[in-house]
Amino acid sequence: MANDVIRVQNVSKSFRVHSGKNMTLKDKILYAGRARYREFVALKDVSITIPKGSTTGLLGVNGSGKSTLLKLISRILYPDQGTIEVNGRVSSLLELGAGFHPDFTGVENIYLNGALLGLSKKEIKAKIDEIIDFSELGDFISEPIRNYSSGMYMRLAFSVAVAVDPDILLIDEILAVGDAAFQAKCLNHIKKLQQMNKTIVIVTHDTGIVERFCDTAVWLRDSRIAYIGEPEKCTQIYLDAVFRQAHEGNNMSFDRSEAPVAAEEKSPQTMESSPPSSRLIEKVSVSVAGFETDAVMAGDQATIAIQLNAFKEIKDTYLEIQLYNQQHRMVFETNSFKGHIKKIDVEPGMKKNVSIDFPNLTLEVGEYFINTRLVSNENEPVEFYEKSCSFQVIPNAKENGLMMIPHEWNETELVVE
Amino acid sequence: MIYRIKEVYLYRSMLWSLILSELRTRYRGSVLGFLWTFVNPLLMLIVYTLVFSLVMRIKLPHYSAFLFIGLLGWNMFAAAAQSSSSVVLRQASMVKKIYFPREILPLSVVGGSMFNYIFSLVILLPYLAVTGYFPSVIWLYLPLILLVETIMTAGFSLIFSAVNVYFRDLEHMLGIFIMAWFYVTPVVYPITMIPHKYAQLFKLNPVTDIIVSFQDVLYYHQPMQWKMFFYGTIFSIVLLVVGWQLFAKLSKRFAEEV
Repeated sequence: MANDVIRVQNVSKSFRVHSGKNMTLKDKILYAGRARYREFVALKDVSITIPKGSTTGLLGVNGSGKSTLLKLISRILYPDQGTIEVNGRVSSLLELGAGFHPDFTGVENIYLNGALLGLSKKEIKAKIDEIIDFSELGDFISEPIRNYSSGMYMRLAFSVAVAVDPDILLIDEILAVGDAAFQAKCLNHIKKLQQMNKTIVIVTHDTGIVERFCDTAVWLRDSRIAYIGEPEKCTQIYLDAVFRQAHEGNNMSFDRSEAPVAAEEKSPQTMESSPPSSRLIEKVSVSVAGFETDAVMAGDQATIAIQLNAFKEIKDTYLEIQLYNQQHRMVFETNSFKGHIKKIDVEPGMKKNVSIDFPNLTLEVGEYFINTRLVSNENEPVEFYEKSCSFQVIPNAKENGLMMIPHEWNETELVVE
Repeated sequence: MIYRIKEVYLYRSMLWSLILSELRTRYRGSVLGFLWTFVNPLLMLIVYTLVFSLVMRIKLPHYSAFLFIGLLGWNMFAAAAQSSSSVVLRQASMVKKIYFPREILPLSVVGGSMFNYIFSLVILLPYLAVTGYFPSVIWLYLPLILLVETIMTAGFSLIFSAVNVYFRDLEHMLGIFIMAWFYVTPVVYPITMIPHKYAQLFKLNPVTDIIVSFQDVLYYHQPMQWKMFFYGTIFSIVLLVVGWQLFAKLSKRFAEEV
């Protein structure tokens, strides 16, 4: 395994966070000499080598530099210091649909997008049937894609991305968007690439994915590498640290910008140190019989409440919660859309409470935490609040086992002849 | 720079498809569609002919032909320079999401402009024939002039597109600047009309060399004035090298700044 395909050495990268739009001539003159930006250190002295054929997971809270590292590897960004060597064709699944032109037909966009991803015309021609088959778009393929639904758009984009035959695949939080079928397709594709001995780097919050797919896990904390090694060990250390921080109450320092990556790009203000009021999902809590608690008796009635604070308008969204157990396996997932709340809107400046009632919370005894996600109806992540709430399930004296199955004991006298 | 050129070559299919989409989307959705590529210069020709030969009454035989030759040459340069200044910002989503040699963006604009010029020859050459300027061997110099103009335009476009990312006023300043530039370039008047004492000053303008060469070959039916053309060629190559290096340096932070 001596041939490392990615070699990152002592790389540092910082960004200029402009405190305003001082891009015009007037501002340039007015503020000449005075820096109107702050330096934001995204990576500090990071070194890592990734051998060929391995799968590496990058863990870390947002703002810890995961995505920056990925962008540096894919050469979208350049390091301020240090060197990055990459040997092989890089493709990244963070570019789904980049460069699609709405006026072009599906087929034309396959050529266009394929060319953007570095495929030659010949390569695309050889694969075009395969791509169209994979996309399952049928006759729509010769329609301009502005007539596509967002699901069809994604399918087409993914089909092209799959057709690129990369040596190195970079995946950035892509698994967070899209429906279950789409995610399954993504994961299947990753497995196939692993069998083909491709090198894969995944950025994710999902420690489950890291444990199931990765050979090595890297934990980035505060722009530095905090741990490299066994995925299981790494996720354990990572989650312990995150939990400890959360319990000490100073969780603002790390989850202030817990918005998912896609949203981070759109709203750069998440980069600045922001007060808690800049979170749309203000609070997630568990209550029993109307009282907030962090302990629920197995099988009890319980309510999970999500308080939204619309410091800016919330429109056409739905909420999703994921319940994780101590082993970081997802136990349960539900969203408001499935729960027949077609959309959640909150006027700017207003607050809203969305709650989920569980008549009997039939969970195994143990500690649980909830990830909450606010997603637009176009499936674009709006905000992701990781470990938004944690609680204990305590045993009730009556039963034992992995879960509480609702049941009823009956007895009937049998008449004996 | 050799390395960068190699990168662009590797991504040639992307360059090509961007040029195509530039040409094809320009008139998408309009009734005449791609025909506009030809109708546009035709209408321009009519307007300028009316204004300058009926109203201004310039004493130059077949003035509209003279004007049209210069105008098409000028437009290729000016349209590309103006459009490329904002091309990186227009394609911000791509710049932030994918790696590709960033040079492709301004170069695709220049390429589109060049093809547009070639298409407009479909109107220009028949028109010249109609007005009595029959095709001659001299016209074979045309591709050479076009090549030099493309190199020069690429040089300017690389500089404008890179600088505009950091200094966004450039785009707006260029609008005025290019208009002024137009009037100090012998497009609407022959170079011989320039007063002698200013002639040296006018010769500093590199676009002059290109436009005059076009006029020499197409209108006067004589080869280019080699000294002048040579100066223009050297300037273009130097500009391209300098512009490319500046672009390479500035493009490193594009993804953060757009």
